[in-house]
Amino acid sequence: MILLFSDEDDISTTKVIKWIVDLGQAFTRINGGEIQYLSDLYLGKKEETSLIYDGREIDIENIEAYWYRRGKLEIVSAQDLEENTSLSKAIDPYLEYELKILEEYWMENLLKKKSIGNMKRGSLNKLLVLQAAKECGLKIPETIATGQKDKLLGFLKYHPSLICKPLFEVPRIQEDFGKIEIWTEKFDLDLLDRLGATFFPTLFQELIEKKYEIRIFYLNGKCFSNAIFSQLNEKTSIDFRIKPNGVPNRRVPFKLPETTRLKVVRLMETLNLDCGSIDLIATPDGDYVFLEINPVGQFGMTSFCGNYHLEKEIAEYLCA
Amino acid sequence: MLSATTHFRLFANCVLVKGARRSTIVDLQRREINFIPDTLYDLLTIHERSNIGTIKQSYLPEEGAIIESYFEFLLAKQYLFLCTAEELDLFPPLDLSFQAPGLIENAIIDVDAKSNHDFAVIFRQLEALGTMALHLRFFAVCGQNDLRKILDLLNESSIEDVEILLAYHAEIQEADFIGLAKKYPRISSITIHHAPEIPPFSIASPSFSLQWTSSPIDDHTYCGQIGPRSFAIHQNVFLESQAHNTCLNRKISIDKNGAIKNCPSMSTDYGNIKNTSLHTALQAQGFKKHWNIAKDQIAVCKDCEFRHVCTDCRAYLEEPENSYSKPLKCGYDPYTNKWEEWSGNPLKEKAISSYGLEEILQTS
Repeated sequence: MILLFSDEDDISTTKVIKWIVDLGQAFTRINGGEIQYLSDLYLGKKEETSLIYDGREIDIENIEAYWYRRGKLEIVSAQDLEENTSLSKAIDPYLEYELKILEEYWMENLLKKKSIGNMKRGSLNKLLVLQAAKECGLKIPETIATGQKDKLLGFLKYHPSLICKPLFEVPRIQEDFGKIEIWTEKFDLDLLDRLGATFFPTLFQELIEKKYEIRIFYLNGKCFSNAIFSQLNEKTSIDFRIKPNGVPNRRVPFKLPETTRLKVVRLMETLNLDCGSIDLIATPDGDYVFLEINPVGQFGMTSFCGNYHLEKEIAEYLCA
Repeated sequence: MLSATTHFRLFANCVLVKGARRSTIVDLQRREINFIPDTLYDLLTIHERSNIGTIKQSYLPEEGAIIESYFEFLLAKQYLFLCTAEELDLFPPLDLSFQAPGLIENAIIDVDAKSNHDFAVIFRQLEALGTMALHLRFFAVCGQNDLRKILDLLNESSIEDVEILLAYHAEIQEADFIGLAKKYPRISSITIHHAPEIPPFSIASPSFSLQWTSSPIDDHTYCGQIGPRSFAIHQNVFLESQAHNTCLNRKISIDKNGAIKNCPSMSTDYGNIKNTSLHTALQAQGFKKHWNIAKDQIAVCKDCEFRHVCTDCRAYLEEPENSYSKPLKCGYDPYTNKWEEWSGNPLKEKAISSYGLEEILQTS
């Protein structure tokens, strides 16, 4: 049986499942946020571990391979605990720790199996990744993280056009007045006057001029790439994920030059990642500048626009 | 003026298709089709790797302005981009291989007043074959409750898309259709036949469409019409069309009498659903005989600039005995680039009568 960790509306997971079924394998899909109970765990003369998910018992022995698409392994108590008593408040964190130990045992044992994706690395530290990329020989944008206006002004002297972006993931905040989404933005110099001497630590990078963007889906040493001509459309020229009105950005299969491909492979190996989506910029000068890695990024468009059959590729690896 | 040393590349999802008298650029990403003269087709293919200077040298000096205007058009439409010689190999053409999971992609089930299908059994068998899309065609009036009972069977199904053809009746209410679309998100479209000339209401929704036709559709013989309205400018169709039939590949059907066929309009059946499983029928000798008849192998179609966006028909043919002849219900001539009413063509009279289509032609 192939186990898939995902979330309810991920279409790529559904497509991979269709290929798993086509290849004659059974599957179990665990969607994040849905309840997983511990069934039992036996250590001694024999070893047994099983979970109950969606009324079904999943024995770790029967899992031949798993795909960590996204979401998380979260074991909860099957019994409703009394809430809001002062005792429960005091003991709750300890109960959480109890469950964490069970989750960790599951996770470590799953890690011994054939898999794609890394459960422990649903998100990466952007700064550490940039550092590793540089060490692997990839060009990176000149970058500072600062909350000091004088440091920002100093950086601006050398790099008059900047972008700022979140250090962590793109937050999606739902408020009464609407949705707040913080994408990568060109830094508006008029904002400087409104900044005090200090401000919240923020990531700034030199604006890299684009000829086109490159989105790579990396899977076990192979790079499947698209070139995205986002600069043909003003709205998407900084962050191609912002949906343009009307015509979509041109997005076509791309063959990474061999020297760059080898650096990307080295980076993923260094970071111990077997899959992920990687963003590069191709500059008018012919350079390839590394931006970031999303370990659980969408690859459906990369697959479709390149006709790479990635869903099949993933299923075949899991079922082989 | 373009620089003489500049190279170019077509975006891989803008694919050239050469016809007998003109060519098309099929824009698979934006789902549009545009005509280009064959001279431009030749320029773009023969000079695929040349720079602008070389291209201009190989034409007459006075043609330079035309070449410039061609490139202006192609750049404005974002069909191509300019690049360096080194970049040419970084932009491979689109891989045209077609791959899909499962044995069956889509199914048609026909229903008339006398049909007695066990939908629960049929749906289970379709799911086991990997079916993604279903077309339910009701020729007689089907009440809302009966329809809902059928659709309820699909609530947990792996069938993702349902299209429905329904007969008009006077009590048809807008609210019923809004309710259907809401309760059954798998329904992508409903078409109502025998409808009054002026539709009583319309529903606009991005995930659901309601269409009306005044055509009296009493059985499967209405199907197989080919024309711009049936063109599917879609990457999957384009890819599938390279080596497979765009209508019949990975299709299974149950006609109004329960006969299992590739398509309800075909004469050969492979058993009845009452006593034969879909899986058994699918394995029968001959069931898949039309699946790999691609447009490139069909007479006339192989010279047509629309051949990779066209949903073919192998049930109604100009020469009923020749599986490789042009679809009967296509009025396009790629040698003159003219459309005409297919049913008025005297050369098609014999085929029309051999399929018994005179009646449907008189009433429509």
